[in-house]
Amino acid sequence: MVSTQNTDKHTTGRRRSLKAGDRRFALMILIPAMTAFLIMVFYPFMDAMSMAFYQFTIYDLEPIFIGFSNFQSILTNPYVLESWVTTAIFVVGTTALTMCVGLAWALLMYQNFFGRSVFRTLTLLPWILPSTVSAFIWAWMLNGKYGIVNALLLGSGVVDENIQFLSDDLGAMMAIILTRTWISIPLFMSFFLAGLQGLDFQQIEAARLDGASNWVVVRRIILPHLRPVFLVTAALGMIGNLQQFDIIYALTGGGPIRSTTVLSIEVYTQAFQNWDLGMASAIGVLWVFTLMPLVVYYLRSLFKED
Amino acid sequence: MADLQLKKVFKRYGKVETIHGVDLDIRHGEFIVFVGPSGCGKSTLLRMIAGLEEVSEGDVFIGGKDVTTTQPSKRGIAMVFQSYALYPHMSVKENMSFGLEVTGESKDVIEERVAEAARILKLEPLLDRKPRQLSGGQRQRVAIGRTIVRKPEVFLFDEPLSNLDAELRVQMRIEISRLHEQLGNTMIYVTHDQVEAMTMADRIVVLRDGNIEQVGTPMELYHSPCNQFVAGFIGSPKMNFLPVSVTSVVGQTVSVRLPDSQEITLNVEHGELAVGDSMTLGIRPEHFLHGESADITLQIKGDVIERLGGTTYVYGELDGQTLIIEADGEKDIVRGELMDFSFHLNRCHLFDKDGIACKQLAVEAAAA
Repeated sequence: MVSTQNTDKHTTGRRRSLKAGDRRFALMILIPAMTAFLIMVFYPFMDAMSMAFYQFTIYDLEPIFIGFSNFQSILTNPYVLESWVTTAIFVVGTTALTMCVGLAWALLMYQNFFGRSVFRTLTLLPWILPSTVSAFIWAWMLNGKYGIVNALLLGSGVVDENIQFLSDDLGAMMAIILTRTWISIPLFMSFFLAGLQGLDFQQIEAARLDGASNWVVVRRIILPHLRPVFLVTAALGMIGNLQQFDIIYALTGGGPIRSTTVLSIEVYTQAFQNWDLGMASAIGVLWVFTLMPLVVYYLRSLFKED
Repeated sequence: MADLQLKKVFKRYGKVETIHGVDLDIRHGEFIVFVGPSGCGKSTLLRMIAGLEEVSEGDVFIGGKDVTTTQPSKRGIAMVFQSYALYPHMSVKENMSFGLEVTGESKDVIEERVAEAARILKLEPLLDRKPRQLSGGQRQRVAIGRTIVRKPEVFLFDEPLSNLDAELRVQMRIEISRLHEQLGNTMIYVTHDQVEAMTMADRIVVLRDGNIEQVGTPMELYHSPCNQFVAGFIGSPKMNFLPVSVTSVVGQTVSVRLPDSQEITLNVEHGELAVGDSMTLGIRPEHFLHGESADITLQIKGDVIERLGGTTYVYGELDGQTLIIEADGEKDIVRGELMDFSFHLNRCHLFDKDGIACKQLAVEAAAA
């Protein structure tokens, strides 16, 4: 009995020292990555954030500390709040549409049919294309004079005259949502398809034997199975859409009349058109705080899985 | 009446044919077991009956009605899957009532049937649990409960016990047999485990490479296998096979020489046999006698001895042929010692060069 206790103590002591050694080794191999992160990401981020407390325009030789004035301006500036609402519309619309189409496409690609792998590969095409190229393709397709979308709508008699998609408030918003959705579908489809492949197909067969229709199988078996994938995909999709800049800038430049000016465009405009770096940073802070809950949710669900 | 007929049923995947024209008659209330090695087509045949696999050619009749192209849910069948196929996000009760809900049964009927099935399967305390909170045996019972509530005419079981440990498997085997007794429905059960087949079936269907090899009661298959494959597949441990050669053929009386040069004479039904033909003699491990005299005695040295308590298995060789012998556990058997094991000729099975059984008529002679 005594000897057993001694052995236990000895083992525990050794394990503790080993753990400490492991920790030291882990820290050592983390140093290069941490250094790169601190220099390349953390310092510039904090520097940019701190700029929110300064006035620094093209007329100022040095940044002037002004405390929370930039934030007070944001609260009273209708343009910034308008951008926040535009961002919300864009993010919610794009994420919802991408999730619906991505899920539908994944369900289609889950079926067994001839040439499925070719179709799956082709589906990835929008993801491979550079986003500015996709934006120009869509700009051309939605062109008010020569676009194929107008040609189809006119040809099928849906409309009597061309729609000026990109010079109309609603049309421009629809255009950026459609383009972003088109680009995001492959990624979302891949997530859903991976989730579907984790589903025991015998559950679907059992439901079929029970007399369940396609809709019942989707609603009662497939969607509950995909729930965790849904939540993570929604969070990731919203984060990605909140950060969106290039497609919107290439398609509409934030117009017409600011109707597609989301926070990212607003930051760019303030920083590099109005040369008000302090205000741009303050909007950046607002942007980060909008993103934060989603990021926290996403990271928590990742760690929960671990 | 839920009798079931398969008429010249084929299954093809492109150019590959996996089921080659199966004919089978199953009577109402029978417990039929499809047994065979992996890839023999037993699950495919079951899924064709269920309607989960399309029938490439032939017809399937349930209760006298042609259901070959009928939707699975309209065939009057219910199926228990190997993976249980329980819906993980639903409770036991929801899993059991799902089938009734989607067919639009009233709440009262659903409550009543779920309660009845839960009583039969002793699931009452588990109704609010999720499948992940259940043990393997409990999940299997829920899977069975889900089929019972639908009151099907035919129950289909696709290797339902293969995910359970040995002890639970025995327990569930007994429960399923009891359930069959209680419900009296037609049940078709797929397994690769011949012990399950022997213990549960009214009749066993032995399949190999998409063909039915033999259909019969467990004891028919045990005593009168129609070929060497069935003889080797049914019975545990497996039947011993010894190569023999024909030394004389006089009418139905055939003499063959064993590997140790002993000669035996049997009265068998046979096609065309000639002196010098190669044949196979089959003798089951449990038909050897130790310390008792019988028609033929073989001298075997036990290389490996496995003691299971009541039974001892002796692994030995007879002129290069490995034999397994089942002996009484109480007998004094020593490894490496030359021992006498004897058997009666009426326990022997003779197979021709194509593996077809030559049925014994009567034993007339003993060892030469």
